[in-house]
Amino acid sequence: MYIEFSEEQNMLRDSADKYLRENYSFDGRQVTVKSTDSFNKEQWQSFADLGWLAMTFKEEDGGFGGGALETMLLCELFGKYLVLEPYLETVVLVGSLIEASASEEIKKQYLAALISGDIQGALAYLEPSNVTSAAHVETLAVPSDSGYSLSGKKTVVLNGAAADVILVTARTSASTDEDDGISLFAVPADAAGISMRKYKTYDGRGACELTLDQVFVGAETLVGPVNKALPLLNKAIQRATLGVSAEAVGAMEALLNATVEYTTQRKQFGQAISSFQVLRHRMADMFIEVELCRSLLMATAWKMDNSAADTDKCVSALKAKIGKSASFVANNAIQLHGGIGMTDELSVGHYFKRLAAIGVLFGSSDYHLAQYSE
Amino acid sequence: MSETKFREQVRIFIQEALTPDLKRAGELTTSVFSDFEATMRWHRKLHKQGWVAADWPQEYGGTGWTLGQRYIFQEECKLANAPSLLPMGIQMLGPMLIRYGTEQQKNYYLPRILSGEDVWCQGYSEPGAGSDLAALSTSAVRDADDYVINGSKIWTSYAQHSNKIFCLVRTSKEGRPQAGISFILIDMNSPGLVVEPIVGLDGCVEQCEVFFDNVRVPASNLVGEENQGWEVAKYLLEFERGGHNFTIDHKKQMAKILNQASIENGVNDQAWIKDPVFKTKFASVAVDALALEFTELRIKGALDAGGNPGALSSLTKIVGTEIGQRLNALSLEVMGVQAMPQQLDALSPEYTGEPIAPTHGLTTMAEYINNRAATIYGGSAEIQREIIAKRVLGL
Repeated sequence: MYIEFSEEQNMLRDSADKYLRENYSFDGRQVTVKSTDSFNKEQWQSFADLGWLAMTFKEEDGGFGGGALETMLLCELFGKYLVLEPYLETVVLVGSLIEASASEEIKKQYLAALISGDIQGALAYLEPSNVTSAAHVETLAVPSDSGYSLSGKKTVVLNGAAADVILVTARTSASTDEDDGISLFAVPADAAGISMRKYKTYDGRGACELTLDQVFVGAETLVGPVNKALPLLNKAIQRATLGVSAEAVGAMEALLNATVEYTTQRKQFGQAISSFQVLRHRMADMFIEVELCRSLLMATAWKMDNSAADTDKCVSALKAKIGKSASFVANNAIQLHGGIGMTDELSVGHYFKRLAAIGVLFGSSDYHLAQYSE
Repeated sequence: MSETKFREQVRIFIQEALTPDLKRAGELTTSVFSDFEATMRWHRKLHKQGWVAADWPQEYGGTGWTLGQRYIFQEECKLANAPSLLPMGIQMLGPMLIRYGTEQQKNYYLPRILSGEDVWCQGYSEPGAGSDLAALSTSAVRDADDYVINGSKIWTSYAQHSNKIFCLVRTSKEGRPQAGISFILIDMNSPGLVVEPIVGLDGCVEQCEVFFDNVRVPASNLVGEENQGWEVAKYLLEFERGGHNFTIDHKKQMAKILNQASIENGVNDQAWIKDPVFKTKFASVAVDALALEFTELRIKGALDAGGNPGALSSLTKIVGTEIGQRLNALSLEVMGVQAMPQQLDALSPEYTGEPIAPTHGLTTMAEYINNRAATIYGGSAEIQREIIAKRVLGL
């Protein structure tokens, strides 16, 4: 399929690109990275004011009714500008799950505040004993009074350090690795029994190790039907996979452009190093990887929005390809920048780190190749 | 008419016209070209139907189909294993004549291309001019009403079957090399013209060397002005802006490999198709083929919308040929030693004996060997990368 973006979609992309170009600097981003804050609150409020947070929610919930294409457009720009604000975690993961499956009380409590930029979310689903399978849940949810008591450990909870509400997977029945028996709960971050070890990740974001020690939550905090949360979770993760893939394409293109610019400026042996064929062809190969990924990305977003039968396969193909291509582009971007590519000062290395993280988020290339093979 | 209806129409025609012998020739194709006799039989059938030159303007014998319909026709022919039509007349010379030929040239040559009466080969590359085609030195010196041609051409595909050759020749040594090149049409029966076959690695003669020893050619056989040859030849690149479509070939090849892998046993005495290492390798190339498929759709969409997909077209030749070679290698691994017997006669559609290799792997080694050339011809992978570096990235 050939995607012809609508006028609104083109406007969204162009205006968002302009805003970020003029208002989101690498230096400003680095201030946040070096601070204890997970993100810049003013930037987040601007995103809310610009309508970005509302973009993919239904109109009846206060959104603009956008879908996978809009997610793709925004995330690609976030990748281009190295935006570290938690759009993925708060909007794509937590926001979409609450909107799709939470009780009226929970929706009322969180959704509007999330869209207006007032609260943060995090999804806590991976556990230390198995970080590959979303179905591997040892955290238990034991019925207690008119609710549940949650106990367990979650690892690398992205945006966990800043979250107001945390969506937690816990077992309400069946045994550890079974798909059935997993439930999802919307837990207030300040609930009694929650403890966190907060830290920054290598790609500059805030996260935490989460421990739940008999955290009591009411029945209304169940997101989706009891025991049947895994399909909902997988759908949200699929949307997030599209999001990080789009981010990767934006980052890869930014790296390619930076590398082209650098090599045309940098002179050695009396000429711009861009005149050396090995480097020229390396950059040609980088271009090829970016465009192949972009083709897969656009097709996947389109299929997602049109509920195509082969969407799952496409998502796996996309993430598998992104992992390999991003690694190639990022590695060569640093290589072609030479020594300075390895400094904290230059943005190149930070794109490299974000792409390394994306490579392992929501399934590595090997994981997705195995999925694609099935 | 809807594309579904059109596809149906095409299928009905193919069902009737693609006789078993022609289908066999298609199935046994191990290179860009199919068996010559079968190819021309198919060519003549398509000509009778009016479908042999789908891309040409209708006034010259084209079909008037939309881009989408042309894609569908190409797809259906490939899926049905029809022989590949020779590109030299239909895809190369035809469009160049339509653009640059005189009325007499068009009136004379175009119908003969359509009917298959003229079989053309392409005289471009020379021993000293491959990637650097502009360095060609086969000379054409004006003498009264003729040009006298001296020199040689190499890698002339199917010259041994052709009765005509179109050549780039040097008519001037002044200025830039490109500015001294002319485009001329030559009869292969001309005195002084000799064809020498080149045996390829696969044991077949696909390529030839063509020698010109004082070959006289009427000056009226020039296409375009003298010294305008480079422009004439370049026009083709613009005409073929979308580039070659690789997806169907890849899909066919992948289906073939999965079939081979379901039959052939690998590790632990189970079929390769159950082996995790094979599955991962296959998935890896399948993902790249999928990315290319969507890229080709983007190109098609851009062309449909009247745009120029230039940058994307540069990448398809590189990626398409490299994926093809990876698939060849995977197929060879699966077939193992069974791919080793060289039985050239078994690759002919006329063969009625017993092939040594199993049917599902009969063409594997020949394809693997022959397709090694894919990243060399039509602009080598290195030249294509240089084109991207220069024209797309501005380096």
